[in-house]
Amino acid sequence: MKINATPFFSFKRILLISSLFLAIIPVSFLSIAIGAYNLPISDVVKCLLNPHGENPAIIAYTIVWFYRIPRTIGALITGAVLAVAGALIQGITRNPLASPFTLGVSSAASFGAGLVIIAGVKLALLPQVFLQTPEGYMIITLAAFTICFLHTLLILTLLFIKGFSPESIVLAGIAMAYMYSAGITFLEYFAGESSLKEYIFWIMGDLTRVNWGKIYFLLATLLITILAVYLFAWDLNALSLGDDVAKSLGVDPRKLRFKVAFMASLTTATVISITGPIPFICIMAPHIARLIIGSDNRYLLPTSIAIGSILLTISDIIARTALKPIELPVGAVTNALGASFFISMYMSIKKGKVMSI
Amino acid sequence: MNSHLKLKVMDVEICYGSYKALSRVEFEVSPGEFIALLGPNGAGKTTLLKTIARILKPRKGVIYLNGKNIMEMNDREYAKITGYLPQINDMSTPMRVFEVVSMGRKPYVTWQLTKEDINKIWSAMKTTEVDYLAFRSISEVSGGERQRVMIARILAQEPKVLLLDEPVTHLDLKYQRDILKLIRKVTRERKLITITSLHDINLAFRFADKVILMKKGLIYAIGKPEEVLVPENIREVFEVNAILANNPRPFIVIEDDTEGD
Repeated sequence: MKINATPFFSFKRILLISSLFLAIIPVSFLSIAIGAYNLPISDVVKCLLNPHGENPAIIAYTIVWFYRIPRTIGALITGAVLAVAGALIQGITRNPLASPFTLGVSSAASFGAGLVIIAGVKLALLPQVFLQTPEGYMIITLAAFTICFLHTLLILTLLFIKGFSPESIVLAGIAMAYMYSAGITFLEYFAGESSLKEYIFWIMGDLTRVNWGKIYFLLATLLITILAVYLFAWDLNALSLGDDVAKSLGVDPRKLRFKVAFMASLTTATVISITGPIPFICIMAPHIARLIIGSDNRYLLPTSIAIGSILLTISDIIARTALKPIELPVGAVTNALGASFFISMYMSIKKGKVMSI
Repeated sequence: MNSHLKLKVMDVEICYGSYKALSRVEFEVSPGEFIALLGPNGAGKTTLLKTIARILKPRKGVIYLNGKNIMEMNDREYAKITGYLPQINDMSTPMRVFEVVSMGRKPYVTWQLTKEDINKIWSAMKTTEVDYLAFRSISEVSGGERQRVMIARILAQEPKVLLLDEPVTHLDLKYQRDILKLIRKVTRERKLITITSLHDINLAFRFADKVILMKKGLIYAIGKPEEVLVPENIREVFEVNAILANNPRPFIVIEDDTEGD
């Protein structure tokens, strides 16, 4: 009797995960249909059904195909990538509040962007408006990514020297984040008013920066993320039983932490170089996923993909509609959501348990 | 082939920095033998178990399993042969009992558990009588149940060598007896090599086929319980006076320390 319960147990979970992925469809539709500019639903559907457009000149077509669809895809992928990266880092640090941002990835990206926005433009004697051009934006993205990448190598080297314990991962990340913050303070002091404003805009993650050209990068990141789920789910489960047990199950905790930290930092670096840092998705999505599906990473990581996508897309819908016609950057919304999420989490702690199933 | 499985520890030395945690450790175990490791805190029991589990690397010496140097085996291969239960289990996330036990199949699977894996998980849970807890969270079960879950995890791994670090220390009397009985039964039936560190001399006396008595990283004595656990050895290793009672079974009684009174 009990043996028969096992397939049912996993069947229930697979059903749950499938319905979460199915929920992405209406959420995406909503995200395409709703925005600062009011479009009748019938027009939106018409545009969606004609990807090549009978009359591409009409404004609805442009809005749907050149603004809202890439933005929605961007939200879906960015949400998924950040959520899994968060779950992965939480797995290797065994800490439910850790994320790639704890490793200092977002500070590195901000510092990289700041270098271009504040110092680069000045030193290259370019006009401030250059940053608004696609080339200008590409340079910011590249700088953010380069610093992130160097940062990842640096932090892995630090960890290699000091051993890959969960504590050292978190400490190294925080120490590095302070360094970038010092660098940023320095840059900000010398920044002009307009470049300072530009910089502040950049560090509030915003999905309007996603266009068709950048979606290929995001897709590649998504593929790496899915590969990471497949490669690391069992190993992370083993690690959750403790380093010694993991070792006795054939998993080398050092190598695993190295590989996971590298992969999660890099995927996070790629997406936030494009969108700017979007806080809290990395922590909220895995936590919600854990509440729904439990801690088994084989289910937790795919669930995080779905939850991350949905969460960020909905946050973006809120960002676009809350103060219509003003569009907020999505980072402002996830910040607010994250804060209220943490407060509700704090209020619901029972017997000191934060991660429960 | 496995019936000839033999564990041979040869002249092993382990150091933490300049501190020698183990030195000149040498012994042999045959299949079906239940070995108890005894000794005061810091004697090197955990270190020895971790060394055989390949968690620590010996500075000197070799451990042979079935004639092969264990350091030369690959991780997955070794994980199929050896199961290790740590003294403190520090799980970071509360999984369900079934999931914890299914971790024992980790060395065998890539992604999906096969029907065979699932059957083995259930039979391991039945052996330690935790099958009724399968879908409960591990954080909700009692200490005794939890330890039986952990042992089921190791049994699901189907190892030939069981390395158990204080498996019964924090359990109440009934579970201490039941779990050791179970481990001994499994050891004999499946011809396993079981090495268990214990705190209770009398449990070792009652359940072990052989006792390894350790002191300060050295093996002080090795042999059958009644040969090793004699008052002289106990005085020397544990620094307490003991009497051997014999009613109805051999039993060690620790004498009161009267010096301070």
